[in-house]
Amino acid sequence: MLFTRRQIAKFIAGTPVLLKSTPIYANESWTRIVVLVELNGGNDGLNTVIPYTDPAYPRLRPKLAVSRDKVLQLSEHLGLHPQLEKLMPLWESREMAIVLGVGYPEPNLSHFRSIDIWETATQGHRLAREGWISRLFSERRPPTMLPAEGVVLGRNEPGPLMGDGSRIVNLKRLESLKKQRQQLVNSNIIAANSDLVHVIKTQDRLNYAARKLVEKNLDKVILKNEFPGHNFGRQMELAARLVIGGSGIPVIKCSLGGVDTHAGQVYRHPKLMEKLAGGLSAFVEAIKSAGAWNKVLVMTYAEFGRRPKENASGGTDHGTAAPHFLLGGSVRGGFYGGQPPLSQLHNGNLAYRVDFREIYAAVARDWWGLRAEFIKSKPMPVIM
Amino acid sequence: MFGLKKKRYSFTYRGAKRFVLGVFGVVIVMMVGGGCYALSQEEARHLLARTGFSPPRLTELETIVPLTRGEAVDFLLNKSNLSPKTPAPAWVGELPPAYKVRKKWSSIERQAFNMQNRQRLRELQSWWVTELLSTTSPLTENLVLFWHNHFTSSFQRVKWVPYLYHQNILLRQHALGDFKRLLREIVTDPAMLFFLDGRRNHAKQPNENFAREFFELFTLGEGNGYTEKDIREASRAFSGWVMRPDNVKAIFKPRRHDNGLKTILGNTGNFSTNDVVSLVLEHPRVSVHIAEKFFVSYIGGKMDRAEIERLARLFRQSNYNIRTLFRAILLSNAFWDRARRGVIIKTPSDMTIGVARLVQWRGNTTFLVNKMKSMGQEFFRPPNVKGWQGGTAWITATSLSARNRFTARLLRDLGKVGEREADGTMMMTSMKTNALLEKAMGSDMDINGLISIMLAVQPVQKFLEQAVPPTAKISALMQDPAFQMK
Repeated sequence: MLFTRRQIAKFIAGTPVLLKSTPIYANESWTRIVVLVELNGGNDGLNTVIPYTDPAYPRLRPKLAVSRDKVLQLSEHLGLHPQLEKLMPLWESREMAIVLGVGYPEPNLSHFRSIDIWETATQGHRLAREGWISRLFSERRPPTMLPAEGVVLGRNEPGPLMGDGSRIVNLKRLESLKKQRQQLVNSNIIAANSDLVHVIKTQDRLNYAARKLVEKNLDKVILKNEFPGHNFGRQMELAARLVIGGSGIPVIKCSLGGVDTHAGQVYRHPKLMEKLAGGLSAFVEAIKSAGAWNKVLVMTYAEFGRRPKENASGGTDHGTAAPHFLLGGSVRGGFYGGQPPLSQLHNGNLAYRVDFREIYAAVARDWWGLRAEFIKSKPMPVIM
Repeated sequence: MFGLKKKRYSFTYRGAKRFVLGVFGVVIVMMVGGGCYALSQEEARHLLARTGFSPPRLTELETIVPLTRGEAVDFLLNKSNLSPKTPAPAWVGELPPAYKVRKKWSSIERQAFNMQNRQRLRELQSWWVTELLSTTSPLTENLVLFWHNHFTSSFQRVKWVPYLYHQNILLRQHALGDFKRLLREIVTDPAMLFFLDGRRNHAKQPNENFAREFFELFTLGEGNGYTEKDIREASRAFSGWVMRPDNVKAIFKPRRHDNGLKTILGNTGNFSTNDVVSLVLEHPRVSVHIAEKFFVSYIGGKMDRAEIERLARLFRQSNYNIRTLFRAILLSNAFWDRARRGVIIKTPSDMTIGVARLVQWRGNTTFLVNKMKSMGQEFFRPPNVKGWQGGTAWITATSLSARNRFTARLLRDLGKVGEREADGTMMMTSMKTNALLEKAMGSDMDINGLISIMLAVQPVQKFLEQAVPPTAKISALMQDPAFQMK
């Protein structure tokens, strides 16, 4: 089957043909940005938000337990990992929510399957090829005049943005944008060749996004504070430029790698926590001084937490529920969910206390004003 | 010879007979009821692109065009080699420093060690790229790449680079051989023991990392016929293997091995590491899982369940002979189906090595390693234990622009042999020795001739006729989205 030029223009989103169909009122909510931070590999929740008074904690973790006097106290029972110190001001000013015991029923311990469940918000054995944000956007698309609907920094996986419908771009460096060339599409596309159609779409979206972003001069955005030089820090810097420079892209996905700490965790995990807090706090500072903090929501996620009992390699194996953070000027700070008790483990793992979909429901309804019927959970009251 | 139209014929598998033909000394499957015709140029290009690199060299095309499908497939299979031609880096025989030595290192010594490791990784990557550029059997390398994506290990966790080299050699030895042997060897492969923590797995505290991926990725496929309990029990059976600094091979320590009764896939016994491999191979899902993976990598397009089942059955009946499976794939109707041409997205190594071989690249191999990395593939460093996801995941905004920049750069240098780039790299692409480019420069090949060699599907852009100098035509074809397909 061959397509005409006009039909191609239609199915390749991003062409201004679609502009007319976007109602003006919808643009209002698209000034609100979500920054996703994937803790790629499954972060050790128990050593991130620490139940420091629970006698079972040091018992399960003879080598890995963070000693009580080093923990940054959040409450009588819970405290932050010492390397997360830079997040404490946000907690104290109630701009940070900590959702405890986030998980889902019948947990899967495979990296791939579990991240699939998280990123597509599907249940049990159902498989979806579309990420939850892509599915949200199919209810109401962000305006086509935006350079893209989502941008992926760092690791190339689009995760919650995956799906053929959404216009996403991957970005490592701003300079590479300027090298994009405009390309004209001929009418010889064989629609049955879905992989080729993917290549053509990507090329077309890339040209469009590049043209729009180059106009914004993001490299000229002045950031008043320094960002850490590591990979995650650089991603957060680029995220800050995208927000402050007015790119208007509603979703920015970043990732912190290396958290799959099967071994040598005592050396690796503190460094990871330091990277996380360093990157996040620099981002928050930059966004605040640009006056955009009320329009930004930062949320962490991961496929799972790690097993409470440490393994013989000085690490932790794949687990289940874990705590996650939400940061933003519009976030109602404090604790949500509940800390899963170490005395009631299921197959050696934590029993989840709150379904991750409650967070998604809040993002959909209270942040973007979308109905999102595929998310069955009730929204968590975390957004003001 | 180009542009000759060959008669179409139909394939039937009924009554296939085997003859030995003297010309190539190879076995050819002759189809009774179907003819035995020479390949068309498009078919020859298709076979070479899927089993090697594309665009193929003109000489490679000319060699197989006179052959039938069966002859061409066997010609390529018989040319496969077991060991690389490129000399190994000097350090591959070295043994790692003992723990008691490392323990006493200062932070400077430790840094030096890490730096040496990273340097060796780059040397190993260059070593493979050199082999890819110079090999006489692209098919061999294609299969080694396939297995490197299946039984993968990453430098991320394997900080002794010689182990990664040995794993690559192991994959080569069995690339077209016995899958059972390959599986047995990989379970105690040093790089794998490091990568998935097998060396830390002992009776008292089993580490499940390897056992999980063994079922989920290496044999049965995710969620197919095993339970969390099977994973736990299999880890116990896999326990006891360690690496010692005085030996390049894994050593079995009976005292670390769990000698108790285990129940694995419905069988109970005091199973050893080898027993788990035997038990899992009893399960037909293994052959289906492997056949599926081959189908995706070599046939592409919509999954054909019946065809996958047929291939899986052949694989089982051959007692897991990889060559039998691979040969059946290359001779299947699905493989030659015109609708399935150009439906697979080239991997970054297909892309870089294909173009570099075409223009007879003589520059620094590190350049190619870095380019592949920017397209999302770094040898010996897969993103995770599942390997590279492949398919449409190869093409993101970032990787597609990297691909286009790469081809533009290599072609820009055509005709500037020996000139120095601004960054000091010597740009050396030789046109004189390249028959395709030579033909394109002359008048005996028009744009359609070029398209039929360089692209698997028709180009998407429509300005090719205006591109006047032949290099501009080639350049336009390589920048076309259709060039991403094989």
